[in-house]
Amino acid sequence: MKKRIRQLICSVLVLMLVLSCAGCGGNDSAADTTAAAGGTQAEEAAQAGSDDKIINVATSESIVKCDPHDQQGWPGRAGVAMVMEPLITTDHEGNFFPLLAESWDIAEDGLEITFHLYDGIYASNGEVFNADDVVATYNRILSDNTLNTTVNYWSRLDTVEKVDDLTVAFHFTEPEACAMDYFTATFCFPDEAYAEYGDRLWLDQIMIGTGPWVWDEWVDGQYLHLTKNQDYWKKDEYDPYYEEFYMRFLTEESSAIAAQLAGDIDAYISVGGISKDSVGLYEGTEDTTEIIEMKTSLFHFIGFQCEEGRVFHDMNLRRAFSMAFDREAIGTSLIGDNIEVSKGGLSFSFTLGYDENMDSPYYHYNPEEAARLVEESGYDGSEINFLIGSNVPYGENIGLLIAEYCQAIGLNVNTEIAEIASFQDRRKAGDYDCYLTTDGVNYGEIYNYMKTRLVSDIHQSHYVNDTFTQLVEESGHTLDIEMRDELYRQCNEILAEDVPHINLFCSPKIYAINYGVTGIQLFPDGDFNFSRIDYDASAVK
Amino acid sequence: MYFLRFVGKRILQTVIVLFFVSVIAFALIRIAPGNPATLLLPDNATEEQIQEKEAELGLDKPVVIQYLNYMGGVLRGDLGTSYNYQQPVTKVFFSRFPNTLRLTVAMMLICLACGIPLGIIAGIKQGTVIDFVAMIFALLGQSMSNVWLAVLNIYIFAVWLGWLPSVGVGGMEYLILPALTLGYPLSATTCRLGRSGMIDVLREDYITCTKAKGIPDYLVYCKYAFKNALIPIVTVVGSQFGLFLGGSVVVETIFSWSGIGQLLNQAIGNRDYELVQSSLLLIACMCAVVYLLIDIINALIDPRITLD
Repeated sequence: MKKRIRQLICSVLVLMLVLSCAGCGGNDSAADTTAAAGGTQAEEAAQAGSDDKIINVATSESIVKCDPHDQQGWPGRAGVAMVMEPLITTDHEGNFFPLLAESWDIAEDGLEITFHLYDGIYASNGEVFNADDVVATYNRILSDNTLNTTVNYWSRLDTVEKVDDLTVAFHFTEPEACAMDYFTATFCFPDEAYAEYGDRLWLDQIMIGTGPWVWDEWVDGQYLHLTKNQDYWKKDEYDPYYEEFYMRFLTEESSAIAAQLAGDIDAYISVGGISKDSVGLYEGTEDTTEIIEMKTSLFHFIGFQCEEGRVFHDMNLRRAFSMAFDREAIGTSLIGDNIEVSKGGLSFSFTLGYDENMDSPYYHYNPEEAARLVEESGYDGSEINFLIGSNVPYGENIGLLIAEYCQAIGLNVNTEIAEIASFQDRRKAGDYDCYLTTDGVNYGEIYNYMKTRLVSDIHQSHYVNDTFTQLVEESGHTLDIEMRDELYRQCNEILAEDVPHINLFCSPKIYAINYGVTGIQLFPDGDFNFSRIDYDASAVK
Repeated sequence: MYFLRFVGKRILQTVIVLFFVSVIAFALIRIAPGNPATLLLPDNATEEQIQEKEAELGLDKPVVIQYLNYMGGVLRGDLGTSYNYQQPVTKVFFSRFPNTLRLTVAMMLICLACGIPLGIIAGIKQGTVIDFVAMIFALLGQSMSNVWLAVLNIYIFAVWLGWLPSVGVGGMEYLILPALTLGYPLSATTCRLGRSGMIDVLREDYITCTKAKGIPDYLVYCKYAFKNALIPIVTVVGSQFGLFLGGSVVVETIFSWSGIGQLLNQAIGNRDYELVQSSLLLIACMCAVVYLLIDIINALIDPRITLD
């Protein structure tokens, strides 16, 4: 009897195991979980490589949500930008082009910007797109104070008003110098769809927009699948060869490269660029894959804790630190020859405020002078905490090299690698002597960097310079690009003199795109856009 | 009856364990430096906006109240909402869990299909070429790092030979490389356990006795020796099964296999409190079930092991 019971229980256990295996097999129904496990029909077609009209692009970061106004990373924005469109578009170098709006007027006082929309725009659900849709989009942004788009861009936007069906006026509380840039990064949705679905538009991936691609599905951690919008309102301008687009999230660089070598993906667009050391893996693919190296605004910088009583309250010690190490030697040995070494402040060749004559003495490698300044300062040899974010490319090596250089001039610098959340927390509390991290100058505008980090002092650096503050505030309100350029230049001079932050170098970014794939827009600020992706057979070698 | 009593007792123990897991997970993720609200907002967020976000996430309340609210939700079947995904935790977790389960089951199948037979045969044929080959297999498997093995697998089978897809989640062909990467080291462990277990059992008097009775060798090995050699293997393999239900960060990342390990890793980095604590709770639940099954299976294999 006991034996039978044991056999029965054994059978039940085996049955449970078989059922659990069968349960997670390849049922491709529409259920989310199954889609995640087994993939959709389109996914299988792509996997089988049954149709050449499918493009697979790998990115190094995943998308975690679909909300067009709450994206934190570039892949998310790039995905949304294929489905929803902003009023205007940009080359990220200060030039703006019509998209949903065919023209615009900026009031002289900068407090009102009016857009004139194209006639005949319609969304992928057939809804006609007009001024009401723009108003609904921006009202949604204004009503939620914690959306990334609101926080990043629209603190000075007061109201949005429909003038007529094709005209919208934006009213600002203060002139917003970078407003045009911000319009290029704010995606519009159709108001009727929003009225019907509300936030379910993105929470349930309904995602209706006017863009050239239609959202099919986003599978967390795997891919974003889009199909061509057959009724795109600007089809005469853009009618891509590809019928389907996959953005695949391959967070591990060597795997992404292997996937491209194996022919599973057509382009690898890493957010931080492909590392110099990994480019060698592409050897032998010169006929199939183009390695693109371009200068971008991703730069490494060191911020100092300037609070009274702390080591770097003394400006001369900051200058000594800056002169202690050889930027060029560190940059070229670790990153490559294509770096642009900073000559003072935030002055890089593609940013506004760039002065080719800028050549701060504090940005030259001068260990003798640095040692002299340290000696004169009365520095007591106490330990200097050099905090480095764990996500900083080459951060640990750069930090160790700098610490070694600094020790040679008498500064007792000790590096500390901190996990990103911890790093942010420490900086926010001002708990550091100096820190190393990276940033990028979006759209070539340095206002946000200076305002956030030095004027608003979000990292409690306690750096104060009234003239600098005044110049930054003024530049934030100055719409004239030439005047802003001049104001930025003056800010840079102060930064180069006071050295509350020191910049090291701008790094190039490396991307790998198969020949034949065209239309991937790579911008100098590191951003990218896939919404005009296409195929050109003549470009295939 | 004793069986039901045992299960009842284990369920009670599990409830206590889960309570402690919930407390520890809740406390640990909050002790770690980093504020989810600041991580969710851009750098230029004002203090007011950060506070607004904290209130939206319920982080403005005292920690005890936060815990009670969380546990209240858990008891009602609501495991909370992920801060980053803005979706219910159960939806996020179970959208990835099938991938982890598939990978774990496939890894187990590789382990059972390779490790156990090889170990048992090596134990029977101790000192022969088969034994030597099995030991090389085990040594390599136990000394190779997962990362290296994963990359090696990709370059051999996907890039050079082009037999299998390199990365991603899909049909069976997508499962082979990650399962092989996870399964090989476990097979190696199982192989060693099987071998040593078999050698020990074959030295027992009752085996000599059965042989002396003229029972054929295959019957001695299969019916009498194998069952006893199996007990340590079931324990180790079973606990590994439970462990891998929590995901494998390295292999999932390299193969872009979106499973629980990757999810948890990201959630911890983003300080997605509710996703972390609820995922840990769910994984603990599953582990408890697996360990219960191991105990039952062991008792079935060897009646000397009583459930009580």
